[in-house]
Amino acid sequence: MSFRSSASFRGSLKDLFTPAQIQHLMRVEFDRAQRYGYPLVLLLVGVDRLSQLQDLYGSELRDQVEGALVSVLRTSTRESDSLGCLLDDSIALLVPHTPAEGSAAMAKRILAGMRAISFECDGRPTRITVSIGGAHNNRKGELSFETLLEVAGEGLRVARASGGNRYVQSDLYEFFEQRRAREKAAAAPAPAPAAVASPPAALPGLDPVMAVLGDKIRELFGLGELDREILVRIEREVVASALREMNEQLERTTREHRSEAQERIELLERRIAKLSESLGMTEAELQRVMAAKSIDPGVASIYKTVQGLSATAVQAELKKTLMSKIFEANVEM
Amino acid sequence: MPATTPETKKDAGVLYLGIDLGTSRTSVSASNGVRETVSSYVGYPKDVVARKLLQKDVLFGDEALEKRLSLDFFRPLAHGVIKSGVDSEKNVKAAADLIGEIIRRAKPRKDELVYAVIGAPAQAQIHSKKAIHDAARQHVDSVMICSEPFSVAYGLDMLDDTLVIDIGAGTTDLCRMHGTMPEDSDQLTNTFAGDHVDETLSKLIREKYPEAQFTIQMLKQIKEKHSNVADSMLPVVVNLPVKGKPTPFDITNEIRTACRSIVSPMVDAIAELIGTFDPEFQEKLKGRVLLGGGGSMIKGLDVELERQMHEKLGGGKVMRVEEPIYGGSNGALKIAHDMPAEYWEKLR
Repeated sequence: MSFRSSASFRGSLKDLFTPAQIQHLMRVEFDRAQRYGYPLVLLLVGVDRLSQLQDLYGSELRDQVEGALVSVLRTSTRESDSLGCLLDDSIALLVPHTPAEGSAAMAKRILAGMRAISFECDGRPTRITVSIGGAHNNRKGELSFETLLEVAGEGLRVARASGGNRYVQSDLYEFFEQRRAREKAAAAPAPAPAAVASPPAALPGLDPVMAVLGDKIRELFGLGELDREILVRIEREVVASALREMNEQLERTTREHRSEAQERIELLERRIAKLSESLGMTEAELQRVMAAKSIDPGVASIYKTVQGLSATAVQAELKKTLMSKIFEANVEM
Repeated sequence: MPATTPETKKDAGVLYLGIDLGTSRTSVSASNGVRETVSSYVGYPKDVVARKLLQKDVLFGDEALEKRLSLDFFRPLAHGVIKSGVDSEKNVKAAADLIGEIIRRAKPRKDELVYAVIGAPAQAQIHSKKAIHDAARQHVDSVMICSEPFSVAYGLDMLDDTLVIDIGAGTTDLCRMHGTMPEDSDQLTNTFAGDHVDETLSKLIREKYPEAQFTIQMLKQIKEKHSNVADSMLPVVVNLPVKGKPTPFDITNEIRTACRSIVSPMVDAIAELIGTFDPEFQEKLKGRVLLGGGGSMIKGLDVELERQMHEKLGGGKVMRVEEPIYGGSNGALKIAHDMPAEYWEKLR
């Protein structure tokens, strides 16, 4: 299957819900599902390395890819499913009356549908893939629509970070719910000072693992009545664990940065190669046109400036006089 | 071309051209390494049909000669200068176009200054030089005219005690070099040159073989191939049409006689220039006679000249330039190179 649609991205999304519309619809559908107890799945779909593709091959390819993705999503979903674009280059798909297992099958269809499409980049066939993050409402305990959205977003992020072309269903409902609760509490008016000072709350945006670690530390120090020796041991273990975690986090971040930098270098090298090739082709074309039109650019002289007689020339003085006489004769003429 | 696009910024370099504007052949040597020569013929399509057939507004050199029946055909130079008299304006235009063509063949870049030195016959009248200058001025940024035999001598650094003989188609120019700029008294020009050989050959063949059909152009080609003044030479047998049928004719003696017809006047001119020179230096001058131009390619000419000089002047030594076709243009190029910048600027 080859896709050469000229439909633009904006054109493709004309039929989709806008970010505000889809969020409103999803929220209504989510509330309804919670009230009547039917399963619901949210999928966030994004094209892998879309911005790099645009840098390399231009916005025309981006429009084609997004047009193709919308087509694949339409053929893989039901009429009753809601499809709309979100702000961060991803398309949201809300599928009501579908269990978590069903969402995986649907995601596989979407992945396979995109893989089957061949795009033409500079005359060469190119495969372009998507990543999908999923979330569902089939769980016990508190669950808000925002958490559902964040869990699906986390799944999409992990799927992209793992190389793309995959579906990831994250299980961080509790974490996001807790974080939301903490943020809510932080936003509420400050309570009266407590008798015993509690450790500071985890900072919003902190890595999930570090946040969980922070919670554990708070729990441990909140026990109050422990033996001092046990407390010292726990403190040591916690500090060691925190240091280990920080080192790992540092290594992970460094690796990611290196990887990103390497990708960027490769992208720039590809772009330079492409520009060099284009330049060569343009030069060849110019030569061809000049040849066809019998335009000769000429042959460059070996002299960049006027030369004149060299002081070391044979019979320099005589030649100088001769030059002067030739000049005078021409002036007279 | 420089004169037609004055707005082009010319800061990429300086192209020097040395041009030998000859009656029969025009040559250029350029400072970009290009050397070209073209027969001095110019043709313009006679009518619309010819224009459509030839797909060109003007033809040059051998192409013009080949298509001359469809053309208003010009050989704009005679005796080394632009022809005057009938069709004077057309000849001036043809000469300008010819100079433009030889400059175009030198492949100048539009972003370079083009400075040219053109060799003219030693004793060309000032109005003739002016006509050549004006014709060239349309195509270059600055141009100078200089004596043709002088440019040959300058190119070979033979500026002292040398007698240069430049044998062209229209004229034979002789110039006495004695370490200063040659004056009028140092130069002689006669018309015993290539065209004279052609006419003599034509006359001799017509006398001996009245049935043979030929044109001057055919004889010119025969001469360029077989010219010789030696006593013993290979027989020259050529096919000339007789009422449409190619017929072989032996023209060995005619070729020799025609070629020798320019030797005697040449020796007379040499004798005049030597005889009027400082007696102390006459022997030196006789010992350095330099032959250049297309006519110097006549086989045995140097030996025959030495023989006749021995008879009339008691001796002499004759040398040939290595490149007869480009000897003049190479010298003119060297003059262009050595000319100071301010001189070029003043003549722009």
